[in-house]
Amino acid sequence: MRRPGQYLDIMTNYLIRRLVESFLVLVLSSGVVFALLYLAPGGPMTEILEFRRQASRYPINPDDIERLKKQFDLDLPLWQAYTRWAFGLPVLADRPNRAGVIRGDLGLSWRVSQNEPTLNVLMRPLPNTLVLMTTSTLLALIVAVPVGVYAAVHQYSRTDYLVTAGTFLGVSMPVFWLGSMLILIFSFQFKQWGLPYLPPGSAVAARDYVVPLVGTVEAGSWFDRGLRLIMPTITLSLLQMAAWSRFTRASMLEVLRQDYVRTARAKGLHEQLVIAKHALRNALIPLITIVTLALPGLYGGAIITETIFNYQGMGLLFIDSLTQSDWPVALAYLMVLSVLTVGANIVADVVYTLVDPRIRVT
Amino acid sequence: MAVAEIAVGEALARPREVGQLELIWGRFSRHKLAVLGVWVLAALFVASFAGPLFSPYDPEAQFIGPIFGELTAANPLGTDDVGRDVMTRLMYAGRISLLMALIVTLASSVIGVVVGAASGYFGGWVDTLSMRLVDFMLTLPILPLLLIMSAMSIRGGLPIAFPETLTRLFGWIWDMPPERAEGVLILAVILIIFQWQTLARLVRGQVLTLRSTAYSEAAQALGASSLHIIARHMIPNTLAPIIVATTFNFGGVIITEAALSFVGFGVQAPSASWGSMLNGVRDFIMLQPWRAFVPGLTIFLASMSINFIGDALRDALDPRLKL
Repeated sequence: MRRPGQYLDIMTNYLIRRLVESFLVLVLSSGVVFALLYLAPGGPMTEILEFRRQASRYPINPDDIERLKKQFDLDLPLWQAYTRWAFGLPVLADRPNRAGVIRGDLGLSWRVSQNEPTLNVLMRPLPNTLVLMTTSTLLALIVAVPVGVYAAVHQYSRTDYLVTAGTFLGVSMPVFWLGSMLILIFSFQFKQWGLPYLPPGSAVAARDYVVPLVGTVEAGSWFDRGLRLIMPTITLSLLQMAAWSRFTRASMLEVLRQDYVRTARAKGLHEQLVIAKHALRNALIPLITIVTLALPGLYGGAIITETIFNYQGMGLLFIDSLTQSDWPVALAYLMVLSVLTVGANIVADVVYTLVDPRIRVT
Repeated sequence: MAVAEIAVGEALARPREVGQLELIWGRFSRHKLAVLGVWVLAALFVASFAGPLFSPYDPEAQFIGPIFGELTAANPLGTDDVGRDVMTRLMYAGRISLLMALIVTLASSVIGVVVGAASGYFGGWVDTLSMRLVDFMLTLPILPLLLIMSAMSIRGGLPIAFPETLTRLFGWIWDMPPERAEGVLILAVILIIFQWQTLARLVRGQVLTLRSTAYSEAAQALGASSLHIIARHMIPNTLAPIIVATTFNFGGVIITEAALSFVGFGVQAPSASWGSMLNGVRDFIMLQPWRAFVPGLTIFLASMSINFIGDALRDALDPRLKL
């Protein structure tokens, strides 16, 4: 006999275990990346020195090098540098204290925005990326679910084959090429033909511009931002669109074979009601997991999309930090992504048990 | 009469044997798009590896034509921002893109099969250790990590020493000095590091189920060595999913390499892969976006063909395997 509330205990235990596990995974993965960047010969110091050399015409004196090394904890052995970066420990007398990543101190940026706390640097493009991720997820869902359901209900029909071919196209499409082609058609050609075109590049315009048949678009207005969001959204969502419609179709086909669907039909329920209420609601359960688990992928995929459209998001910042060897910023980006990945895994598992009572955590 | 009867009788007694390969080909060729994919892929390979032999230009020779030259008979795809022949570069880029993807796919398949088979067959700490490693690596954000490692290797941060014959060989194939071929090979190694995990998991699962089959137990009872059982009984029986997964991986690697090169952390100039050629036109995309069409099209055609082939192979090799 299960006493009431017992499942809650199981759930709590499960969550605690998962959180501890996730924490260990984060420590391990950040350690690996930290070590990689720390041990890289020709890594941070060369870059800093080179930068200082470019910045001033005076030769660098050895004291400066020592001071710089100290400032960035580069004179410490690897494990100490890591623990100071991650936890702010050990506290050393000869240098300022660090709070560590665990308390929200991601260090100072080296070059992208010199000597500014990395966290601030990271927060600036965050809204743009969040907006892009949200619109892409929504677009993918709005297209994928109806298409998948229709294809499943009309299995082996012409539309079904068309959908299958379309998903193949979507999965095989290199997003960077798709983005370029969108620019070619909707920005370049449309502008030449005098049609209302979509402005390529950037999240916000620098100055007002005129779009045929629409009129003047004020730079920085919601309309401007919206226009500039359309192509990146399509580009970023295409892969998910294809994958999710394929998944919805498969899941729906599975559910349509179930006994309770047959029962519902036998009762004489209207077919549309059977599909919308009995089948779809059950078919969408596994999709929740898929969508949650895809979020880190969207965040990472935004690197490419934001690069194509020069859309000022976190992915573009990451590329900047790599080009300029700003390891603290690159590390911070990776930490956000790692936390997102690990978090999405937990959320997906928990939500799954909430919406489907047949599944229980142990 | 008698003669005819005997002939008929023989024909009945020995029906035409249908070989395994013939059966597979029969099922495969029912996928018209997959057959088309084979042709397209073959065409891309031939154009990349044999095409340069017929090109009068050096892929890195500048000012062969005007800067951003139009499409002419001498330069069928025009010339680029420093007047190099785009067609010639595209073919050489194909050598890099296709050959590198092939190396990465095959090497990661070998690693995946060995790790997966050992893990599934021996169990115990081998299994725990390798599967924990796989789990861990699968939680890592792959694209950013690839970018970081690639950025490091470009700055000389990943010293991997290849045998000189190897770098010379690839330098010869790719028509570049051995030092640059080494850079491309390092990129390949980076890609391999993140490519073998799913296959290891797949093979492990298959081997786990095969281990308890009667024929594997029989082989064990007859005193066959572990290596013999794995190599002769396990792997041949998991070959179908391995081939299918490898095919899909091949397409994935082409796209990944192109993506890395597109953001500037893959194959470095003046060498070119299809992805880095797209990167090369990125700065001018607002002026002449049509220049992005061709290098991207080759990537798209390659990856699409491979996906169709993989899909057909899945149906042809193992009818039980269904998505």
